[in-house]
Amino acid sequence: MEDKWRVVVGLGSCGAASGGRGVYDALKEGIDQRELSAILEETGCIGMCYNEVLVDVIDPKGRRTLYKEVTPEKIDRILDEHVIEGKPITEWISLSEGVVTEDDAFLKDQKRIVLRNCGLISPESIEEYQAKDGYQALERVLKDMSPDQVISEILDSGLRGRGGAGFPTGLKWRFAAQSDTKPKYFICNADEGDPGAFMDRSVLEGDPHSVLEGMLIGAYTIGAEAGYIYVRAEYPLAVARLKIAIRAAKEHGFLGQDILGSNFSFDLKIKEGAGAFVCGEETALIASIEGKRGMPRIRPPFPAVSGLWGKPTNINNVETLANIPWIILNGAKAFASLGTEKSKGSKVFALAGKIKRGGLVEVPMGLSLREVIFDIGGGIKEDREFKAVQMGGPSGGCIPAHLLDTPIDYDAITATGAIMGSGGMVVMDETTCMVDIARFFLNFTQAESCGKCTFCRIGTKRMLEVLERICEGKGRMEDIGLLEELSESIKTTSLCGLGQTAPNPVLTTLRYFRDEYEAHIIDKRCPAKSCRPLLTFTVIEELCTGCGLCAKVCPVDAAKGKKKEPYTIDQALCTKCGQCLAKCKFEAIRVE
Amino acid sequence: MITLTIDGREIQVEEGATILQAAEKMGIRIPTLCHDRRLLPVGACRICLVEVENPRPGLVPACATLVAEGLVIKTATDKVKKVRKTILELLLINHPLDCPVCDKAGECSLQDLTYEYGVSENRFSGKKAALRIDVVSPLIERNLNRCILCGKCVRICDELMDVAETGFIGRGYEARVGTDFDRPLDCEFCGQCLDICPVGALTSRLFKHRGRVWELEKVETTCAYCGLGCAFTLGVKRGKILKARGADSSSINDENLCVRGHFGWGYIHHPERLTKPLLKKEGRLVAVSWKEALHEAVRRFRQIKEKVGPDALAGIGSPRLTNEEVYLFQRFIRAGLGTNNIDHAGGYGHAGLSALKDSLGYPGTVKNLQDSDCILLLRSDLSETHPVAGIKVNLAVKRGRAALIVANPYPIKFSRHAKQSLIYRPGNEIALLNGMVRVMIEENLINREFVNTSTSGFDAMSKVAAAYTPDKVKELTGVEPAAVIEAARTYARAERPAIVISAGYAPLGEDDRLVQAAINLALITGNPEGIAYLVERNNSSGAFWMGAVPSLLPGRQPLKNKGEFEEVWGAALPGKEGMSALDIFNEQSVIRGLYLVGENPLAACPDPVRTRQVLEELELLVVQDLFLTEVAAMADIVFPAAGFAEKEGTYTNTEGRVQEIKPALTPVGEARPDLDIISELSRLMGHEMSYSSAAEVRAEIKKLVPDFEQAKAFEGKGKLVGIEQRDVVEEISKDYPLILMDGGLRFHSGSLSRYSSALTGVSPEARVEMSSLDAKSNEIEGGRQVKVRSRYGETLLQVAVNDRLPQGRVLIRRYPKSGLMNLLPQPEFKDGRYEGKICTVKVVKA
Ligand SMILES: Cc1cc2nc3c(=O)[nH]c(=O)nc-3n(C[C@H](O)[C@H](O)[C@H](O)COP(=O)(O)O)c2cc1C
Ligand code: SF4
Ligand code: SF4
Ligand code: SF4
Ligand code: FES
Repeated sequence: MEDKWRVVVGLGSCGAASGGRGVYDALKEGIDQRELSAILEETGCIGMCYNEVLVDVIDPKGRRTLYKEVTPEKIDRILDEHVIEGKPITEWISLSEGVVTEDDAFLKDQKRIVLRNCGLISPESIEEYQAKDGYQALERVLKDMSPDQVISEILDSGLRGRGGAGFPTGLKWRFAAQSDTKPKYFICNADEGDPGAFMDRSVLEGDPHSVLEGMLIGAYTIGAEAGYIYVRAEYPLAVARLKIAIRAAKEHGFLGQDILGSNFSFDLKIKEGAGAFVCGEETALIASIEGKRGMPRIRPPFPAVSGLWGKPTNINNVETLANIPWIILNGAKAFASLGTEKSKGSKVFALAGKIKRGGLVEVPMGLSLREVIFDIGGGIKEDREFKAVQMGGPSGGCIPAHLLDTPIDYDAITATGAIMGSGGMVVMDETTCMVDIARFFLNFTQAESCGKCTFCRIGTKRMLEVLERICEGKGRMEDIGLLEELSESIKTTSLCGLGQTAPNPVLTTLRYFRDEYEAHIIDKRCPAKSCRPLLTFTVIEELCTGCGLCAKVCPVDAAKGKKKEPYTIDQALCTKCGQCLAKCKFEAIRVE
Repeated sequence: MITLTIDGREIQVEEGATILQAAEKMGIRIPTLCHDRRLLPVGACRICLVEVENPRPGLVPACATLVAEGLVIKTATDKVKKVRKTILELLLINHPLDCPVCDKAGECSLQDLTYEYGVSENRFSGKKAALRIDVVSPLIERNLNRCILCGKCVRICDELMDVAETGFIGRGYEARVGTDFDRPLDCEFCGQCLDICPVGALTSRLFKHRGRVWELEKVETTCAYCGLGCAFTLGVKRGKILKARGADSSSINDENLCVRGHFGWGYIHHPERLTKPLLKKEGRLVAVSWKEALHEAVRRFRQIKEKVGPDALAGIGSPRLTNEEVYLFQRFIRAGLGTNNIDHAGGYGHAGLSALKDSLGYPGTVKNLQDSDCILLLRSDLSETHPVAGIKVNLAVKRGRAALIVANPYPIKFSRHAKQSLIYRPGNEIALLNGMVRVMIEENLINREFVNTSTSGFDAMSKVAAAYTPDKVKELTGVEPAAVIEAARTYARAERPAIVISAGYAPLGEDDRLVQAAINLALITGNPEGIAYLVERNNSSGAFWMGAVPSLLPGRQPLKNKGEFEEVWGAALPGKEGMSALDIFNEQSVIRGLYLVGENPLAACPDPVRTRQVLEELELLVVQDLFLTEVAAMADIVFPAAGFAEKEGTYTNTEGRVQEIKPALTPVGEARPDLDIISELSRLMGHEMSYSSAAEVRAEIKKLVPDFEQAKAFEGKGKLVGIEQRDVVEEISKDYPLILMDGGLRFHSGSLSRYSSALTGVSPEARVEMSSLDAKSNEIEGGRQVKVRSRYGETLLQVAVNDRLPQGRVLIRRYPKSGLMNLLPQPEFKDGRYEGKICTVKVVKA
């Protein structure tokens, strides 16, 4: 195998969505036609979503050349010039030793622990995982470590839950280990419901065994004999790869009865969730596995005492678990050497929005937001002005430009009003309206509220209505007070994390961008020119050639005029649909 | 104990209590909407938020937060009040505010709190909900526009009733309560959801637009259906009962009610109620004055007495009567007519109570069920026969994780929660119990010390049980040896096991034997407090205790003790044991004149053809009832009687608890309370009785029956008696290949429920249930009319084909028109007692 060429296609959901399958098929055909002995493989997401489809060409000496934005048309050249003639195609290279590219910056400051294997190994091959030290941590734990020792190790590493709340994982395990009721359960939370987040999906698709191994170590530590991976049904690829991984782990004796001759047994099932955001909340998730409606319940009792079927249960997030084998193998110290005083290790983020290099990144804690966004992410698209970064999804908030030097640290980010969350990072520029952003997230949470708590159910709906009103220019000054009061009540009175954090997007935008709210309410103006009802479309006489296209497309006949003379727009009729703006060839429509 | 401070005052409460409970103890009221003490806390509505000052400041829901040492709470700070007010504002945005036409107004928590918190204007605005009102579901109208999503209806239906008819649908603002596919309710119609709903989302159709809550006079009384005797409050307006609601004054029902209690009282206003005395003239019953009717009855009783002798007369009372009425009735029969020919129908059911008295010393208890850690449901389809006791079993199993063993000849609703479901051959429960006793003795799972100190008869009993080897038990019952062993172990190892037996479902004459066999089990394991014997009727227990039996005087005193009674009653009493109802309707019956009070032997005794014949041959039949029943129509004289809500007195429930009923209405027409009718009749008969109230009668009873309030607990001595399994099933033959089982039905109970349009409206058609295999081999299709034929008669029914029913057995529940009685054999008189058999039948296409 080592003396053969290998061609690896990135086929995570992102790669597949960018046409990875077509590239894969074209490569297969090309290799067959040329009767090459090259091995064609697939892998998970390496994180450079902005460059998909990515194809890695590895020569018999193991030198890798990563090609970006590959299409089926590019296959012939890659095979002919690179694989057959040995001459890489420099202008398509994203990454390669000895070749300097823009993308180097993308990886340079990253610290890949969770993503250590993503994009590098075939997620469907347990052997490749094992070749990367896979399941050695489990072996070490089962052979040489007592549950208490594992707990100390995890405590010392400073690992905190990556599912959002940031609770120390070692402590959580200790609580579950202390319950003496049997059986106990170990659950992996792969519900990943934040809109725009795909960290967990990428890990499951790219390196499922790392999650299984983390679960096994955790289950051994707390004394669980059975477990579930709760994964949303909208992640079919992740589910398929998990199934393959579970089967392989069973075949290799890592899962099932008497694992590695240690007397420890663990049975694992996949439970597909129907994709309700609230089912990511741990007690709702448990209810959902039990076949009930996914509704959070009051804690205490905490799952560690009474969880699934009333038995002690530990729940960890995918990313949390993927860290575990690394910590066991490299030691708590190595992990704790990264990051800040209270936030250790690395964190995966899904960079999205108006950013040049969007994708999945894993950075050491303590890096500043500025470094993540500008150094790794390459800054704002079209070099526009950075306005804010939204962190933590619907539970999080918007952090403005003047706080860009905030480090990636649970407490520092919480201090801004946002939260670390599970890793969504949406970058916004001057064209994003902050009121509209708040509206967007609130629309999400109010629709996803389970409906139990009065404030969360009705209060968020009322807030949404107020925000909609403001976006339409029908806001009143009292509305800001009303929003603040409702936010406060919803935060302090809701039962679960969904309600308790739902107002965050509104509160942070009110805190940092109050002027935008006021502009909407007092001046009936949207500074980002994004809220359509607040815009006025006028014709710039000097530029108008009188072609009449605007009049043709206007659905309500608001654009009027005589051919060859400047047209006008009747403001009383205009519905602000923006069609004239899109159609005008002379940029003669002004928006204010 | 935990010490905490609420509103500046310190209080000590038990660990595990909530802040709400602690506050209640101090008399501090905290408003609630989603809380009910019967349900698990969910903390959804947040109206009960209180402010924690120490240790972690913040707002917590009082209903769902446990007390902790040193907690400092304030229940009504400005912050708290403001949040509560905002919650109300939010709830009111979509609430229709149609209070003027809402039947809940006046007892609506939302209305009350809105008033209390002075929410007069709303800073929010929004669309009012516009969901379709459910006008189709029977008995319960659902107007979910008024729903505040407290979830209590969903939870009570699931947690207590184990029905889970409704659930939450949709998310966020669209969340609401619904049934699957929004179909109308098709459930047990217990009405629990309706009572618990804090707003007008669920209202009773029986109350719809009939009155305002504040116009109702509230009368707290006792339900007159089954032997549990649930406490409930009737809402009465202008002489009409409009609603009933569970009361918590009696711990037996803890505010809960079943469909009968909730909706079944309507018979009291039925248009066919008897309003005038009737006398048969020229073959037709015509209305006459009380005077004429009473005098005629007396004249003809006398005639027979003088001509043939007092023992040609007899009286049959009803377990529906009050204690006072039963007492006077038997006094009249004994002292007024001069005979001990007195009984009450279902009189053979009292044999079970006798066994309890004799061997346990008290009538068993329902109270302990909820705290039991193992429950053996023996021939007890509780969700049909005694649904409120079913709640307790359900809670013990679902909340307390009690191990449930269901022993029944067919699967019941509880079977799905059972750790073990033992489906045995009908009528063979004694063999099963003996088998368990044997295992316990063999494996030394019994409580020797208790047996030695507190029981007698162990050796003889164990000798009988010894013969019931697992193999023999398997042969008799069909239950696998391993299952019997496991059941015995589970029961014996439990700390607080209980056995539940529904009275009246064993073959005739078997009730006392079955009860004794169960007592054996309870006593050898040292669990005398774990027996619940659930009698059928509201006063089955009292009818027995008050002496409506041929061989016993009130208080179960033997006839030889009659001296004391003669003294108080001022009359000589007959010393000869009288005839039972079964004797009266026997072929050799010598009865010429019969006085029936509240009883219809045609519906209650086996072999209606023979019964009818006996009735027809009587010289005099006097019937006292609420309705012109089949038997009343045959009578010479009919006295219209008052119903349970039209009179006063007491009922004794299945645990021996004496509970009052209070008049809520004046009797319809000229109907009179049985107490008055009987005393007047007696006076005219020459045996003076004069009482101005039921309490006066009670005073007399207490004089003669010091333990009128019976012992409520085991008093230290129990009897073990070996009981053999009788062969109780008729021969299975080609002509009669199927065993007939009778089953309870929650919508009906005896004769009154059929006059309740609410109950008949939701009760299914009378049917016979059979297994799909039997249906197939007999070429019978579900839903069709079939003839069920026994050696004694036949009945025409609809057939329901059911996969769960074991092969070779059919089930007929006690629908009013099931014709079940047609099929049953006359009991045989053997060794001084009557013995009935379980009959075999054939089902053919009609
Ligand atoms: C509304 C809501 C949604 C959540 N969704 C997720 C999720 O999708 N994935 C996740 O891992 N945790 C989610 N959580 C957090 C979990 O409740 C829980 O804290 C987490 O799974 C614990 O794992 P960790 O300690 O490893 O972070 C959510 C919490 C709330 C309140
Ligand atoms: S806060 Fe919202 S999502 Fe959470 S339990 Fe309450 S209503 Fe449900
Ligand atoms: S009437 Fe009873 S069974 Fe029916 S929905 Fe209401 S609570 Fe449930
Ligand atoms: S119908 Fe009534 S009891 Fe049910 S959730 Fe709505 S308000 Fe609560
Ligand atoms: S009554 Fe406590 S939250 Fe509803």
